[in-house]
Amino acid sequence: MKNIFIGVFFILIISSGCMEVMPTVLPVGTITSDRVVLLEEFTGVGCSGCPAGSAEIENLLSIYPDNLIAVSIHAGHFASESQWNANQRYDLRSPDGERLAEEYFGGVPPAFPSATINRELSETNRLYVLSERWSSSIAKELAEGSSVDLKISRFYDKESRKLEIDLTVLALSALPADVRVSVIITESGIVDYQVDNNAPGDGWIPEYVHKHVLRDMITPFDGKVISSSGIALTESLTKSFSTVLPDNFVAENCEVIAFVHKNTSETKEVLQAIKVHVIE
Amino acid sequence: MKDNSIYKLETMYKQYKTLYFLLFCVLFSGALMAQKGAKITGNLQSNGNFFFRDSLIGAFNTPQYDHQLFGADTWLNLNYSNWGFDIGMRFDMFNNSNILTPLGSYTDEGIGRWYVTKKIQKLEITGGYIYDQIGSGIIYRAYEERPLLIDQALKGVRLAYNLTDDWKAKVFTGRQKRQFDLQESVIKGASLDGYLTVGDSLKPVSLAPGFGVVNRTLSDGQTQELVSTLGNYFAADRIGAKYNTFAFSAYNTLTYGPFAWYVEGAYKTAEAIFDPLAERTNVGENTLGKFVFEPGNILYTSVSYAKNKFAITGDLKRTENFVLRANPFLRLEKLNDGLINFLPPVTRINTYRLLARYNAATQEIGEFAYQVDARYRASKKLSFNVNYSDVKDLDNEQLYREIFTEVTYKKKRKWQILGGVQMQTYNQQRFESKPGVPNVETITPYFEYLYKFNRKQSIRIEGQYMLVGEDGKGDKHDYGDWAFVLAEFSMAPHWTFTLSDMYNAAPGKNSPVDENGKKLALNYPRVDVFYTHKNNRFSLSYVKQVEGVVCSGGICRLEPAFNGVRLTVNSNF
Repeated sequence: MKNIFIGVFFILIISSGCMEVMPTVLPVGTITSDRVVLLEEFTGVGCSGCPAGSAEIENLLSIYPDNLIAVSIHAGHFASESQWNANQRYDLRSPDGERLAEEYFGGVPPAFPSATINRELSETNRLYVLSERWSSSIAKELAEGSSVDLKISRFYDKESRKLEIDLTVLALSALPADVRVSVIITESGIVDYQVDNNAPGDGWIPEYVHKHVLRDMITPFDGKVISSSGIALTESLTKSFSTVLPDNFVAENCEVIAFVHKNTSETKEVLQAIKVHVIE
Repeated sequence: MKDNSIYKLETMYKQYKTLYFLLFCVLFSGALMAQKGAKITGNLQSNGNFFFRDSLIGAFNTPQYDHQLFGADTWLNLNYSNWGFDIGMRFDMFNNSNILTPLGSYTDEGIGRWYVTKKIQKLEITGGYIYDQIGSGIIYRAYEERPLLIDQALKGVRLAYNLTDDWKAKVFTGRQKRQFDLQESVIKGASLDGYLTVGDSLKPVSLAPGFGVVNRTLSDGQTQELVSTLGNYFAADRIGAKYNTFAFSAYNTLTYGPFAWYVEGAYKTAEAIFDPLAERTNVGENTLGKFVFEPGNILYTSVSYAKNKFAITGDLKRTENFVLRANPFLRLEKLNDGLINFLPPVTRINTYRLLARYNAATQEIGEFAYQVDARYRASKKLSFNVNYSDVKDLDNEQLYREIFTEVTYKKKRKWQILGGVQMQTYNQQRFESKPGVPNVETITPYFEYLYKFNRKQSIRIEGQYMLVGEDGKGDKHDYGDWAFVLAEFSMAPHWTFTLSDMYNAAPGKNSPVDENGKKLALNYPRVDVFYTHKNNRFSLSYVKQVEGVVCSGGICRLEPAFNGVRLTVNSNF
């Protein structure tokens, strides 16, 4: 009996903190940050959990309409031909997306759907974060102000399909010489097969609408140096880019996304991002 | 801002930690071996994998197949005992290893474990990385499973006190290991274990009761991340969060003659846990998987009776929302990451290649499982074994069912043959997250024949054929039918040679196809050579292995196909 009392005593000691002050969960309020966060999602048509990731992106875009830009990169095992449906219509991979994953990020994520959030390392020192952690990572990035202001303009000629882009970078703090800019083209509204955990029957959705698909990078996959001498505080530089949209891109569904990022062995942090539709 | 001198020291430590470790080992062993009564023991386990790309079977698109070509894992353990102290240290090394995440690559090395234990009268003090458990592990188990790179040691302090010869109390606190780092949350716990007998002194009833409690407190950072995530949920799904969760357990083993009964019940206080089957409200269509705020409970019992030629065991387990992790997000990142507890499996653990192809991983969110295992030895030559197990979720959906039979016949010491049939129903959609696939139905007859030429030389032959069911379109489930044969020749005490082949006899829906889309009936051969010399064991293998689920004690993960050469070294000293 004495031993049972001792056991109960132990349990009482351990349980002494049962009555805690619980943290408060509040919905996201008005966003005051001037920062625009870049979410680069890694996905694939053969990834059954990825439609849930895409749904989470749309949730987040509805919560942060002016502070979040999403790119869906089809790369790695789940995007490979071995994972396609027999009637797959398009190859949603792009050479730049594959190189970005393999050569710039050090390999595709070990689990899908994963994303980089502003290419920042998480607290566990990982570049990739799974979808349930995207919102908290975005909130953390928004809590920090932006050191760069971006302005973008584009001219698109429907006949020649030539696309010209001017990007103005205004330094809100001094930027080092290795800061780079990347300009990419995404396309939404691509209807093709996608496997889905929630889909009835064989798990394939034939009319799945793929959004924010990385189609091409106008700059090299690892970006282009803005200035070999860096940019001083309040200095602004304008960079011009041009490309011809391939015939299989639907211009009305395409967006140009530009972002400024660091490029050192320690960090590839995205400082600011901006987007514009190819055709308004 | 980190103090500069501390930062420099940390950097130096990281750079030279391996060198420091080796230096320490040399000095440590040299100095201590001189002591009388000192005892040093240890062991080495080392695995090397050479990866040969084979896109046909899916052995590609990982860093190892594409450009790294070689990966290795090593554990070197040293233990020292003297003056009532037990001291130990383990060096772990992973080079381009796929053991942490089968599709990724992991490289790191360092001190994977150290500990010091000292007993002072009735009190035992342990500090360092501690492996331990309460009861059957349902509320707490700090353990290691190297094949899945589970290493959930608690870095902290444990005090154990012998109240009497039969009663022992234990308290511990610390943080869980995560490779060479630690989880942020703090774990603390206590248990009381006893032993007593009642009734007739010649034929007593013995009892081994115990009680345990475990608490996990999330860090401010973890809680903030959880709160931030939940704040993004739409109002219909929004829930609260807590820093602390508590799990309580009571257990007992009753033994009376040939009869033994273990029972354990546990309750866990409510916290935010991730339920992969809960419906999430979205801007667009709803999806499955979200955090829910729920308490958990579990009941586990095992009854056995063995007398004369007959033995029977029955196990039953009901689990509901018993997710206990060092961080609520970890279930999402890696199914086996951050587990504080262990849910015992209630299915048969098979060893033959095809019989072990489909396994039931334990379900934290909800399952009702039971199994019965009966053995009968008709004579010295003839024995029988029958096993039935069944696992459903709490909505009564079938997850797994197995019927297993085995007959063994021994002809003195010269030869032995055994054989039987296994039948399975396996919910591949649930266990492997493969949408839309039907339950895999299998019927697998098997046999094993062992013949001893003399005291040193023997040959063992295995054969299995797995017949797999068909879906509505006439396609065979998963990879279809398999045949497996193995021949093993042993020359005791040094050499063992094994040759085996797994043949996709009737390819199924997921079998590889050729350029014209025709299903391929592929062979997956394997050749092993084992050499044992005293305390050292070496193996060299060529392995071509199909994708499959690998389990260890009910903890499972999907392993991709493998093609390559494996070299292993195991040594005890």
